[in-house]
Amino acid sequence: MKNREKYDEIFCAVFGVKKEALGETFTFKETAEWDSVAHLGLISELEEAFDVMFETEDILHYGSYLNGLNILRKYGVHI
Amino acid sequence: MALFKTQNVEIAGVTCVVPDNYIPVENFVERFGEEAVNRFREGTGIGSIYNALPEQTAGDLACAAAEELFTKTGIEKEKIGIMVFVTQSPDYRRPSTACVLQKRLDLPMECATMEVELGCSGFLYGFQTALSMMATSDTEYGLVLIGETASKLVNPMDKSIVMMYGDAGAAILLKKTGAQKIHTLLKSDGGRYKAIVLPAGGFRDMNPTHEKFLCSDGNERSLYDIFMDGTAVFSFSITDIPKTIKEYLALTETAISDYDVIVLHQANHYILKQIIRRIRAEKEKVPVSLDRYGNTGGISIPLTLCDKYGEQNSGERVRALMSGFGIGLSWGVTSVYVNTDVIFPITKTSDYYKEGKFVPGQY
Repeated sequence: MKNREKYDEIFCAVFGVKKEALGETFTFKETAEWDSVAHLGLISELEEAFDVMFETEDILHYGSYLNGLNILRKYGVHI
Repeated sequence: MALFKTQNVEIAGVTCVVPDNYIPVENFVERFGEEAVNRFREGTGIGSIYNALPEQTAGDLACAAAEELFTKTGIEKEKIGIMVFVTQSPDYRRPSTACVLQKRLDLPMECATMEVELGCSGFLYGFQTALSMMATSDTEYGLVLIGETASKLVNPMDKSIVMMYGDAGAAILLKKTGAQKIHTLLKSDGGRYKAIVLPAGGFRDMNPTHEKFLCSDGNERSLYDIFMDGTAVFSFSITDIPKTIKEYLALTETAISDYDVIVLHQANHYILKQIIRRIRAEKEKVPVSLDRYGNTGGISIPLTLCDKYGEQNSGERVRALMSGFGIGLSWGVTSVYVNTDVIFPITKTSDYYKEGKFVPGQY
């Protein structure tokens, strides 16, 4: 499975949404399902799936679907 | 650096109690909906909690744990020279609940009692306080009691924490003995005091409005309800705690593989998983009790020990690495050798101190 597909699948599973919902507006502020518990799940699933360990700042600022892609790229993930 | 080194004290007994009020998370489906409850259970790993009965206090739970400890160990109370009670839910604003517990438990007047006001790191701080007091006195036995009823401070509509906090009490007996060396590393960061906070009721803001308002996480609360910045607490737990555990291992010249069991504060499933991964521990060595008891604050370490070893009578001596962390922010790491025969099963209680209620005009 390609990294982007894996990334999308994690978002869909953690937030219980369809792939069509993912995009520019899928952010912590604008997504009702994105609460602190879901955030824990998201970070954990991403770290495990892409074998990375996020720095504190990145965990705190992992606030959107699109920005998350950039954060993962910082850790050497081709996505 | 606050690295404490104590000699010649060991754990001689551990008991824990939970209130006789079992609450499976399914009970919240009507309030929050099935999807939210399922997501909570999957995310946190918590399937049930025990909440204190309306009349029960942290003092009652600690008292029940101590009475159980006295029965199981047969300790002569006259020999207890130090008692430290850890809570953030005291029975009265004044005096210290530690003094009330001294009376209730019939501890001698020669026993020095005091309170430590900490939450999830409370076991570590209470333990080290008692160890230090024992090391500098002639007392043969010390007692650490912990009680918490955090469930009473949560807004019932706060789905982020109302299903998470379980109430409980613990009692740990310490005894001067042989040649055991105990190292404890304690830390705190008041710079992050707002990460978990209950603003009202203290002397900064004693009687503010009970009006509810919308918090940054989308939950409604009043100033009397606990607020937790989940993301900040998560990042603290999975960065500062593994770092401190690694620092502890370096300072004590030990490796994670030297320990038989690693008992972590039972914050939630994801936090445990992340810490295990970061300290490269075998997950089989990290017992879990939060699935049945929730996050019981400072009691969660002794509770997890009782859950794992309480029913065993194998005479096994295990080396345990323990880390507690939370509100303050405050955290620490310690390790001990302990005989599992002195760790007893978790019991339930519905007892409370009827005489403890003050009636106007009658005192």
